[in-house]
Amino acid sequence: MISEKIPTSVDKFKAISSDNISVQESDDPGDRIVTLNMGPSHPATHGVLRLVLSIDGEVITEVVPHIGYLHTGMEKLGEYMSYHQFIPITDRMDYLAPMLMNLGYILGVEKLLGITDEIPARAQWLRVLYSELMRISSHLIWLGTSAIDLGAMSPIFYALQDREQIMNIFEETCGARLTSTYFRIGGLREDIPDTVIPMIEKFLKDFAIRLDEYQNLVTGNPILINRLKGIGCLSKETALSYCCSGPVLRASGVNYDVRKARPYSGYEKFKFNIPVYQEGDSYARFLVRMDEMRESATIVRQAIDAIPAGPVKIDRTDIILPDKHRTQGNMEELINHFILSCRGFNAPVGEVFSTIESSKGEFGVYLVSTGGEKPYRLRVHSPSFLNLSVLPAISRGSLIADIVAIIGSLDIVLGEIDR
Amino acid sequence: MADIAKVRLTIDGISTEAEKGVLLVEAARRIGIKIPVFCSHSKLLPLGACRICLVEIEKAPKLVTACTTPVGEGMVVFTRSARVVKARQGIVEFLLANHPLDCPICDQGGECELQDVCFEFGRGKSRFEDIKRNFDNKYGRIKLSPVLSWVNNRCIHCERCTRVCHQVVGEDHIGMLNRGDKAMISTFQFTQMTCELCGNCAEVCPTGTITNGTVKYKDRVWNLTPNPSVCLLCSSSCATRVWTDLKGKVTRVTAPKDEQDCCDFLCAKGRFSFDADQGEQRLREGTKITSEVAETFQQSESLQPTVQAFKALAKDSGSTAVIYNSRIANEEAYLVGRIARTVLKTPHVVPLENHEGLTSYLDRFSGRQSTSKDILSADLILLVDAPLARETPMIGYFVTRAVRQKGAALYTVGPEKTRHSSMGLAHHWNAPGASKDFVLSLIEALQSRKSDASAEFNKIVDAVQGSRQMVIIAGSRPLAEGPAFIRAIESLSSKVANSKVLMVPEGGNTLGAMLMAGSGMRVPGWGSNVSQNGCSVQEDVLGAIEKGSIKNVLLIGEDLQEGLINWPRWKTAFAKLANLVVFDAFRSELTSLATLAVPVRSFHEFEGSVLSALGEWKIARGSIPGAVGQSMSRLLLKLESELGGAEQSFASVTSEVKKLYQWHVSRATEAVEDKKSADSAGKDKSTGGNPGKDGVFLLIGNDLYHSGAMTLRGAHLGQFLNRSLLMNSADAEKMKISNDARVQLKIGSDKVSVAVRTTDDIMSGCCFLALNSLSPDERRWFGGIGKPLTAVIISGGAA
Repeated sequence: MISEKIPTSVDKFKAISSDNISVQESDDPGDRIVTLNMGPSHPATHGVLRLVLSIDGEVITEVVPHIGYLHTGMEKLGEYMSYHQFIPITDRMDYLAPMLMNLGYILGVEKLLGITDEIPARAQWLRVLYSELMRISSHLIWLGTSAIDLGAMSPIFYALQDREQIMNIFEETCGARLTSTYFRIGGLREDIPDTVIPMIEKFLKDFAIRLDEYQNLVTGNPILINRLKGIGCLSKETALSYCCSGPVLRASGVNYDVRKARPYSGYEKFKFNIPVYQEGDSYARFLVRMDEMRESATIVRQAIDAIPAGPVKIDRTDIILPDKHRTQGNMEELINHFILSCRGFNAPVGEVFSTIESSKGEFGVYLVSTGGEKPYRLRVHSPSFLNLSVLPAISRGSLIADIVAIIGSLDIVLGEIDR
Repeated sequence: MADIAKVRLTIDGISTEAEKGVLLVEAARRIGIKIPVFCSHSKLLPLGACRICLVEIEKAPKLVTACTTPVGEGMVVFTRSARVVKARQGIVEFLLANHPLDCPICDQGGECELQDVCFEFGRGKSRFEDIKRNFDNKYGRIKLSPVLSWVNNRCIHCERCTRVCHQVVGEDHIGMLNRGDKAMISTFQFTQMTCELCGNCAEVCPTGTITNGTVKYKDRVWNLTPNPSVCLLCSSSCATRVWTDLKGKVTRVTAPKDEQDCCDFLCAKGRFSFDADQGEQRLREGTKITSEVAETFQQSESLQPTVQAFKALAKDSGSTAVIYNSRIANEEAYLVGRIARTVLKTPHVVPLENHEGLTSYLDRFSGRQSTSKDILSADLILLVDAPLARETPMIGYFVTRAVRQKGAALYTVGPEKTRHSSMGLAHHWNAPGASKDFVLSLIEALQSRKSDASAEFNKIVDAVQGSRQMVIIAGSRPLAEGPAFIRAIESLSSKVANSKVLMVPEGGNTLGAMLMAGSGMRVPGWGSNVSQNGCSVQEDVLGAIEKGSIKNVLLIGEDLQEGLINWPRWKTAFAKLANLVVFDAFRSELTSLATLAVPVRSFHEFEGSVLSALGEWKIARGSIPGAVGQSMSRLLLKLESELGGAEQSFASVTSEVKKLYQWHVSRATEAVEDKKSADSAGKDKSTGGNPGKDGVFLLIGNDLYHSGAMTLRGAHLGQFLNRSLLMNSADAEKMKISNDARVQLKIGSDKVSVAVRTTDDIMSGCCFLALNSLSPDERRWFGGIGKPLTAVIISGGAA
């Protein structure tokens, strides 16, 4: 805590006021607490997050996050939409890593339908490839925005420029830069065009150089180190009890990554490391993500080198939409298209819980189906929600400036928190 | 009931048992296994044409159709084996080979059985490369019906429509022409279709070949919500599904499906009058006219003005009359009766529809009249002056099924040859108003034959003597002959073993409304309500108003002005009243004359229970979003509590009403033991008469497609209205009147000009005119449904 008396506003006022004014100053520390509202419209809160800070001077005594400003009832919507119709909604959850959101939901549905093992190898491989590109993209934006919150103006331009390359790759693949909806239940929407592989190769080449630049520019920066080291310390026990996941958890010394713990979509075929740091402060979280970007680039490299041939959709006409040109001349395809679009496929009765490692942490869905075309309950397990919940615990006693750094290091996305 | 032997069998590994004779499809359905069907329908005789329901039976060499195979002892059935799956895929592929790619423009998309079965049981990938057959030549484009849409290309030849037409509707209108892949469903020589059960072929068609043309392209089924309701247009009181769109507007009406006790069918009236209660013709705002000012109010604010009006009525209880019509639910009628007697304390509680025989019928036959099961299991059905096709088509539906599916013998009696006469074994001409005479002579002949009886009459006597289970159905004209007819028919029924009686009145909830409002009926707790001074029919009320002894009238129901006989006379009489309170759903001159007009829900929107002529208790939920205000029952309950009655919930009213019906049923059952009234039947005088010189009996009824004027309010059924006078061809020849000539009908001192249509289906000395072809002014001579009038036909009459 603070060791010396920080001059209060009253003191300062007394210093500049004339003699006629008498100011009462109380000794009760409770009277010194000021409630400050931060957000929801605030450039440093990474979305529409409202923080009600109780500050004693510059020191934070209590943080109460208020969320819900981005709530759009996605889980409720899920009960009124067929399983296929819900995929674009997942795009809007963590809008900085939409493909990972798609994947988390789709793997859940595939588990419910029992077709996890029938997804073609090519589709699974490409899912890994694009997931890792998405992770890099998400971490790049984290890097840029965290740095600019701390005052470093330059990294964001470089980071976003790298991200542009990834966006272009996505656009070439599926037509959308951000909200891709590229993964579908049973595979992918369509096969990748030939033009994409050279783009990814180029990106990997450029990114290797850039990673080293970020390492020097950012990681070795003494200002940044001072701003981040020792700030927002999260102990292992606290992290586990708050159910944190992702880089937040791994920076506190817990070696848990869903890609290694419960491999999905063929991740077991790839060689990569999981960076784990022990200190649990913002700097550790910083380093975890920097290392993760490097690991993701490795995975992308391995993926590009050995894409298996084959179909990208499971051969189940009662689950996936037929090719559009076939519906214009063939009766069965037209009927299937009609029923799948207007009603959706019939899911078996059951409940599943399925998670993946998204860029923010462990993301997944808990699906309850009572038969029929729509889920009975679609509960989203959001890592940002749980990571944010740890904020009051780790920021009591820090300065307002530190809150900004801590929020940046937690890497939260309000779309995922509020849904 | 003898116990039917049960048979044990195994389906898909599940051991089950079913009665002997139950088909495999049904046995599987009962344990939750779905076998796809196209040509099979629970209300049609099995056919086995489409082959989609093939299942594998152990030790059988070939796959069998589950819809034609009854259960057998020890059968082991597989509905999902590899052979069955492959067979189904093959059938689906063949069916889809010639099916056009119409899904995006086909109305049936979303509720299409072909789509659902093909999606679930098909291969999913088409192999068809050739050109599909196309009926879009000159024959395929002929418009066969003004209200149905036909696209022959989509037909999969399941023949449900032709079988419905033959077995259920009884019209034999449509059949299969040509052979092979050129087979197409059409009418004989492409004539127009004019069935009173119009639309049932569309209802059963599994594809979009025949669809409801009045709602073509209007909306998709997933935007529509089905609301369970009951049709109030005739006393068949069919259960319906009223479909509302996203804005709450009534879009279409269909029959409920897959419910064991319900018909899967409706008649043209119920189906195509879905728009009759929409638009400007509805009364949506109440009006209150005082000497100074006319003010309007919303139904939600209608309580206070109504309370004041009722207080004014209650002050003058001896000179207040309450008139209700049959288009109200049981709860509403009950509350009207209760308010009339306990709050307004008036002895005049009068139904608009006069059925003199109805009270004695209800007294003696409640709960023991023929049910639909009785009709279907009868081996002899006698229709005594019951034009079912015109008045209550869906009771005619049961008769048609009994005749066409179960082989029952049918004989018709009366001045009109109805559609059922053409499927009956003989028709006995009987003058209108003389149905009682017929019944009495039948009773006599059962004991000793007369030599001068006609051949048809003798056939009927033979049939009655040889019948195992007989059902006698009589319509509204015999009912109008009064209690004498009821006594006669009761006497006949007591003399023939295992026979059941059914009277079919006009109007909607006629039976329920009369029972619950207690007109002429004893109601426990209300004492005897046929008070000495009380009016019992609407003519009495009219007379009393003209005399000045009645100064206030409460009219409650739906489409009331149409039910008031001789509207010009009523109009002048109403001008004398101090208070005229009208609860109606439709705007009319009556509502504009009223001192207080309260809008109520219409026949699609109402909430409550309905008693059908077959004794079925049906419930309408009243869940239409666009309904005008709250239901009448709830309004009346609030009214009652404001006027000093106890507060009561709607749920308790429904149970009271149910109990009241049980009480009537138990009273009628006791009456069976009372033999005295049955024996007095022969002592009533004959009522059949002579139309007089140059005169004919003028039969008045509702036209084939219409129920009063209610159905004319819609846009679709008006094109079917028959405005001609139906005249016997021999009579017309004698009077030198040709077909399509215009004549003048002189009834009393009034004259009506009509065109003539000659036919052999009407008795010599009678002619038929549809009531709703005339305006209220033109029909001021009309004395009530069922009462034959005498008229003089003057040929060559100009307008």
